[in-house]
Amino acid sequence: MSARTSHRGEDGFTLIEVVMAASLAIITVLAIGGTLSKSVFNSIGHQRQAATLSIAQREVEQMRQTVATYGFDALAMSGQPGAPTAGALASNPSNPDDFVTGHGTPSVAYKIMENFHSTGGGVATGTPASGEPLIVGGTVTYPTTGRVTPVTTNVTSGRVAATVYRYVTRRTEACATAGGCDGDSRRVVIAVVPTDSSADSELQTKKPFYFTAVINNPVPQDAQAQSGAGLRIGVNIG
Amino acid sequence: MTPVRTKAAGEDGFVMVVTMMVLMVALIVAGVAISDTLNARRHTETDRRVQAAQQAADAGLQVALYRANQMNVASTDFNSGLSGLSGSLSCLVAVNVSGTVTGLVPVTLGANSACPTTTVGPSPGTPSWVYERLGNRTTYAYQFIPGGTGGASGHVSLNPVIVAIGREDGGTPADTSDDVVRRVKAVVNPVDPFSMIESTGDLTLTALSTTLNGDIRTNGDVEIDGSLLGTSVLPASGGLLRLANVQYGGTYTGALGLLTRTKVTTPFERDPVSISPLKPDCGATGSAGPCPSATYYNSSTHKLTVNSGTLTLGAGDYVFCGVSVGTGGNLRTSVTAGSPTRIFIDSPSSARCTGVGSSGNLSWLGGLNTVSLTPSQLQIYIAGNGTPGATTATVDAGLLGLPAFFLYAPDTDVTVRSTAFQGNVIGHDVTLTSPATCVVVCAYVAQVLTQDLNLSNLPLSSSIGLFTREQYIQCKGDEPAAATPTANC
Repeated sequence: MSARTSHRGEDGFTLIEVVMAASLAIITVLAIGGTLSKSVFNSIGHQRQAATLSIAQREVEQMRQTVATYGFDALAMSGQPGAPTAGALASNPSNPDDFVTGHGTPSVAYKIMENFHSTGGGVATGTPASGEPLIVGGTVTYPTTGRVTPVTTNVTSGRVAATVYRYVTRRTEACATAGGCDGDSRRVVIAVVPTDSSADSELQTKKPFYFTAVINNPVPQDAQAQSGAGLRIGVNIG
Repeated sequence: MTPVRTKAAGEDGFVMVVTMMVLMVALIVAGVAISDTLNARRHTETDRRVQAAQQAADAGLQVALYRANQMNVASTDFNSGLSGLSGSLSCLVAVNVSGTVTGLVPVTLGANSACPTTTVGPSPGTPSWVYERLGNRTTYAYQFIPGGTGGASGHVSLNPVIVAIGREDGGTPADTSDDVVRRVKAVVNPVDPFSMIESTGDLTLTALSTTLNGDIRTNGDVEIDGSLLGTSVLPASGGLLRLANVQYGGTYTGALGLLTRTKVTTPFERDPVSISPLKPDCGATGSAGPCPSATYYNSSTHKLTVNSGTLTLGAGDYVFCGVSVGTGGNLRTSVTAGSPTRIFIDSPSSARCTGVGSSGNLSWLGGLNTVSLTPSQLQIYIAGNGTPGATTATVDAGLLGLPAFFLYAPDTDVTVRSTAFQGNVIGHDVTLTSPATCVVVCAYVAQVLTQDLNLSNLPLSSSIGLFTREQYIQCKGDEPAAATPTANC
C-alpha cells in the first residue's frame, strides 16, 4: 500500500508550479493566437492577390479579344471614367480614378505613374505630366464605338469580389509623319479593387491592384494614309 | 524499489514539463503554418511581378513590330522594273514565289542590295538593350534582328526576329538586382506572296474550260466543272517553266488537267483590311484621289454609283461604303497615271458606314479596265465585317470584257465573270465563271486566268500590314549580352 501511495503522490503540485505553468501557457497561447490570426490574414491576402491578378489578366485578354473581334479602333472606352476625388493626389490613392485629369472635358487624361502606389515617383518617363489622353469612343477624334466599359462592379474570381476600373490611353509612338500615328499605340491600365467586407486594411488588400499592357494597331495608320511612305507588299513577280 | 524507479514514478515537476512540451509542439506547428502562409504570399507576389514583366516584354514585342511595319521604304527603288524588283523581292517575300510566263523574263531572286535597311529600334544596326519606361514599375527593351543573309549588312530579309525584355523593378528603378525579368522572342515574316487566285473558303471554276496561267490555292474545296489547262508558270528560281499548281485544304472535284495538285493541312491566312476611320473618302490632301462628281459619288452615304456614262478615277486612294457599276456604266482608272488607283470599301460596321444600307459590297457589272493595263493599276480592298462571306463582290465583264485588277477581300465572297482575267483575286468563297450575258450559251465560254504580270509593280496598299508574328518563344534566363539577344531562347 505504501508503494501505491507513493505512485499517486501529488508532491509536485505546488501552487507555485501550477501558477507558473498556467502563466506560461496563457502567454504562449496568446502569442500563437496572434500569429495564427496574422497567418489567417496573410492567407486571405494571398488569396485576394491571386484573385486580383487573375481578374487583371483576364481583363487584358478580353481587350486583346476585343481587338481581334471588333478591330483595333474598338479598343476605346465606352465613356469617360469617374471623377477623381477632390483635393491633392494622395501618396497612395485608394481610388483609381484619382489619376484622372481633365474629367468631363474632351481632353480627359490618365496619369501613368512610375509607381501607382507611391505617387512621389511621378509619372513614367516619356508620358505627359498631366496624363496620357484617354481614348473615348464615339467622339470626334475616335468615332468608333468604344467597347471598353470604364468600370464594372462585383467582378468575381473564386470567392473574391472586386470592382474593375479600365482605362485606355493614347501612348506616344514615333511616327514618320507628325500626328500620323495618333492612337495607334494604346496603353491599357486595369485597376482591380477587392470589395468584399472581410478585407483587411492593414494588409492593403482593399488597395487597387494595377496591371498595364500595350496594344498596338497591327497596321500603322501612317502607312494607310500615305502612298509614298509605308510598306509595299511583295505581291509577286509575275 | 530502486531509487531511480522511485524518482521516475514520482510526479515532481510533471506539470511544468508537460506544459512546456505541449507548448513547444504548438509553437512548432504554428511556426510551420505561418511560414507556409508567408511563402505562399511571397510566391503570389512573385507571380504578380512575373506577369507584369511578361506584359512589359509583350509590350516591347508589340512596339517593335509596330515600328517594323512603319518602315519607310519609299526611298527604295521598287519601280524600276524587274531589275529593281528582283533586288527587293528577296527582302519582302517568301522564296516560293511564282509568276506567269507570258511576256516575262526570268527573275533572279537573292540579291539584297535593294533591301530596306533596318530603321527600327532605338539603336539601329548596333546591338544594345535600350530600355523604355512603361510605367507601373515596368520597363522594356527590344532588338530587331534582320534575318537571312542580308542581316550582316543591316538589311531586312526573311524571318527577322524580335527579342524583347520586360522588367518589373519592384519600385526601385535604380537597383536592378531585384528586378524580375522576362524575355520573349518572336519570329516575324512578311506576308507571303499572293497566288493568282486565293480563297480562304471554297473555290469554284465553272467555265467550259479554264486556263490557269498562275497558281491557285484554297483552304477549302476545289470544284472545277469544265476542263482545265494549267500552264506557263515561272518558278522562283527563274528556271524552266512549270505547270500551274493547285493547293487545296478540302476536297478536289472535277477536271485534273495539266497541272500539279497539292493537298495541304495548314491553311494560309490573310489578314483583314484595316481602314482608318480618319482616312478621307477622297479629295483631301495627301494620297487621296480627287472626289468624283456628285453624279457618281454621294458624300453622305459614302457610296459610288455609276449607272451610266464613264467615270475615270485618277491615281490615289478612295474610300467608299459601297461601289456599284451598272451594266450601262463604265468605271475606269487613268491609263496614264503613274500611281495606282486604290479603292477601299469600308466595313459595314465601321464608323463611316454604320447606318448606310447595303454597304460593304462591290457590284461591277459595267465596263472596267482591260488586260492592256497593269492589273495593279487598279486595286480594290474590301474590309468585310469580320464574318466570312458577309459581304460580296461581283464583277461581270461581259463576253468582251477583259478585266484586270488586284482584289483583296479575304472575308468577302467573290464572283468574277469574264472570258479572261488578269491580276489577283483574294477572297473567301471565290467563283470564276463565264459572263452572265453570252452570245450563244454561257456554258460554252472558256476562261483564261493570268497572274498579275506586275511589270510596273505599282505599290499595293500597306493596309494589310507587312510583318506578322509567326512564332512566339519564351526565353530562359536573365538579360543576355546585347550581342547575343537570342541566347537561351
